[in-house]
Amino acid sequence: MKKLLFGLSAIALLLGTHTQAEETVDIHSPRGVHPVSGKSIDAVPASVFAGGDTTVFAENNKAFSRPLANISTLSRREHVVGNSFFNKNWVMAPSSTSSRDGLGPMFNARSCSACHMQDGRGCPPEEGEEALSLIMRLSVAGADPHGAPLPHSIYGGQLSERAIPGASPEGQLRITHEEVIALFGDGESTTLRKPTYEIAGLAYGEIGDVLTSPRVAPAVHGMGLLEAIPQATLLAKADPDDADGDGVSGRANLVYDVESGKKVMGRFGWKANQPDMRQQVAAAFCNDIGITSSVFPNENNTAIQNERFGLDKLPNGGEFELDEKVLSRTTSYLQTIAPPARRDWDKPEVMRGETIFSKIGCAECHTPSHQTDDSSPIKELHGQTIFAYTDLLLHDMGDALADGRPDFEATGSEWRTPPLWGIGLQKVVNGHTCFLHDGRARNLNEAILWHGGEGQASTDAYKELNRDDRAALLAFLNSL
Amino acid sequence: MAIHQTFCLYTLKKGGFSAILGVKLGFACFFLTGCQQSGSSNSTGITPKAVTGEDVVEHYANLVLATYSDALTAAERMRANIEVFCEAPSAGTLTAARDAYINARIPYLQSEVFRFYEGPIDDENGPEGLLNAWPIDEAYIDSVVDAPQAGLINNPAQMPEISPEALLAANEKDGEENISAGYHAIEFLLWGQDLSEEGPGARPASDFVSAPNADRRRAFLLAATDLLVANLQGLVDEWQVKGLNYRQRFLTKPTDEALNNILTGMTMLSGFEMASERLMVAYDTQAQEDEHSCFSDTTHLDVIYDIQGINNVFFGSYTRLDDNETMHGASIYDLLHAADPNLAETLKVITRKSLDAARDIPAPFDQAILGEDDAEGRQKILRSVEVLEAQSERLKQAGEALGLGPIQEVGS
Repeated sequence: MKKLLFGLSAIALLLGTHTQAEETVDIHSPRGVHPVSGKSIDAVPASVFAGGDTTVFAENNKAFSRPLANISTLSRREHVVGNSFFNKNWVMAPSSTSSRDGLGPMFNARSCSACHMQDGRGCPPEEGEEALSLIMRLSVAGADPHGAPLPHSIYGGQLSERAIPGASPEGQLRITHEEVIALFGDGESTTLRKPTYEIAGLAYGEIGDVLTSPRVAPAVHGMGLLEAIPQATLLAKADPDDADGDGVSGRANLVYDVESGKKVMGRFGWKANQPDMRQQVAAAFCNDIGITSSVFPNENNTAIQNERFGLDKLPNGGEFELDEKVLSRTTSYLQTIAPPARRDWDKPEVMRGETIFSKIGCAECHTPSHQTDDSSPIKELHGQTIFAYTDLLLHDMGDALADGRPDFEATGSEWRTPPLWGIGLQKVVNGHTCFLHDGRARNLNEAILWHGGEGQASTDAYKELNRDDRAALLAFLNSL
Repeated sequence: MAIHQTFCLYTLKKGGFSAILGVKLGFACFFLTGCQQSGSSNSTGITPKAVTGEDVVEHYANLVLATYSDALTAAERMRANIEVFCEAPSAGTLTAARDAYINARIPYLQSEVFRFYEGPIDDENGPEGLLNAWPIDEAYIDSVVDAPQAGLINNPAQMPEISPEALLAANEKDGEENISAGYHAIEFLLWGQDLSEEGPGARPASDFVSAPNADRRRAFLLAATDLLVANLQGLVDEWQVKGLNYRQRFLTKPTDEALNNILTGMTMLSGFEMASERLMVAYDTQAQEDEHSCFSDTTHLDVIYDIQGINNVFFGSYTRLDDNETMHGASIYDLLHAADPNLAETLKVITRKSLDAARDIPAPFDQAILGEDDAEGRQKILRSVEVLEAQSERLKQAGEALGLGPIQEVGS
């Protein structure tokens, strides 16, 4: 193909600039200039370019759906193929579209984008609605030989709320809320909604004792950059025993890499229980859509469900339902979605909020910046200075947020610091401002107030801020 | 000049040439002939006219209405043929129904350029998913190889009464229910699974006479067709000249916003939908049935007429279904010519090349994607991808040149 392109360019040169440009699609963003203000980048804080050269300047509902700004034509083509498999519905087997069949037999959604809408964040259902972008992990006490949570003997590792004809959905998640008052130092108050979960309509028998963890679909932009932060950098920030006595520890999860059979650092998922994007993607295909792959070759139904209800007798999409190439392209797609640039960074209130963010300790875990290394096969990700505002480590977030369900090294009250880039655009992209692992916070103010455990001191400091300073901090967060 | 034209056509169509040579000669030919190529598209001899943005928007609305009206007319003819087939199923009436399906697709495909800006076709309640959803759950509709009892047709308990309303209910809006309506559902019922390398699906007419649940199969085919016709009627109503409908809202939008919508549809169809979704994905996966019209093996026509739709809007021209009458009017090309004549001429060349490249892809498409990267079919598909990508970039530039604000081309 190189030869073909060369041949075309040679002819194109003869024909002048128009035809030449027709043959090369170059969509690099102009570096050196800040595209919005037209200012030299020397006059703009580095954090505006949240993903370094990969940053896209987009503020609309597609802000999380843009390929890396510096993407090459060939990477872009891989990206668009992966995008297709991320968006398109999977169909039940057998079908003529053999590379897109094998849905279920039990599933939560028919496509990745059903939950990660516009590549953004999911939200909990309104009371009485069916859950879609919020799933419920299940397990029982103990751990498997690799340290993973022990799946429930009947219902497995995740509640499947949908199924193809011939199988029954496992049950339906029901959420009820209770309002809790939170007081600020200046006498103002707000209410937080505390969710309670139950599972109705269990179709495969009594569930008995079970550990549960509700988790909302996270936004998926910038994942390739997070993956390209050197492990040593992350581990250097870990302080498992709080040796420096600042009340913030930070631990790396140690998880099972299915393909290498080794224990490695976890990076992705609400409890950092997946080592890399490839395994994360394969796990989501299996658990959420019922699509098997070389990484996870078994359907998400359990031996008991097969034995008693014959789920393994239902048609499947063959071995494996997810082609190696499709797994690879979907992974590449997610690795090459750009983080959006910061906005409003030059407003005085936002700049003041940034100072407060550091002063009250938010930046201890929401580490503003990292440098990527050159290890990724995707060259566009190499050597970028990124502003993701995460340390990718586990922190105790206190009892109120605890799910009580250990996940490898993560305890029932530990959660991984989520990245903050793009949070100010979530309203535009997803039409809501729900945050935290189960989306219980209805806005950023509530999200801050839920932080307990290692985050308690910062929450207390936030509560003591006056109204203007609280607004400034929120304005800063909304500029990300 | 005429000699060059002939040579050019010959070169592009002659299969024996290597793709590289063919493309090079094609280029040279365009150069020498001053961008004229008879029979290749309806842009021949088009010269720019002085128009306003309002003229372009209004003519676009007329063009949309004409296209949807033709899609409706052709779908009604398909329904008539399907009714005849269902009353007297035979090889002959089945062939007539299939032909009517292929003809019904032609205007609809040319309407796909009206998507992507949340107009009536794909706004929150738009029928796009009910008309053209792909892939579909074949096994949710009817029996397939390895699952003879599958599908709503063979399971009266799941759908006791087959009707357009029942089909509508079974195709929930947000896509979390199974997909069993639209053109591709009708295509599946008319052709059946494509199990052969050379030809399309070969469902026998007897499936509708003596096979189990033949009566329900006929009912399903008729209901799916009725639902399709009703949805197309809805689109025609939204663009009808009179009425409190979308057309009225479209024409009263700020002109730049309407023009941005028009260019967004063209850009998205060219880059995101055609270059990426329809061509690059199949090219890359080489999954033999990862093509949109896999039952009838008419994917090559999908590509050509979708791209024809972009041409139509760019030149403000559309050739009607029946009498071959071509409507002309104020176009994006005219408007762009006043703002940036070079870009207008560049796009004039690219739009034609995109159509030529599409026509050059050998049928059946599911065979063209196979083989090594130097296989003729694959090179031609890649060539099409390249031209469509370039076209979408140039269309974005056209938006800038016309001062319309950014034309967004992104996935999902």
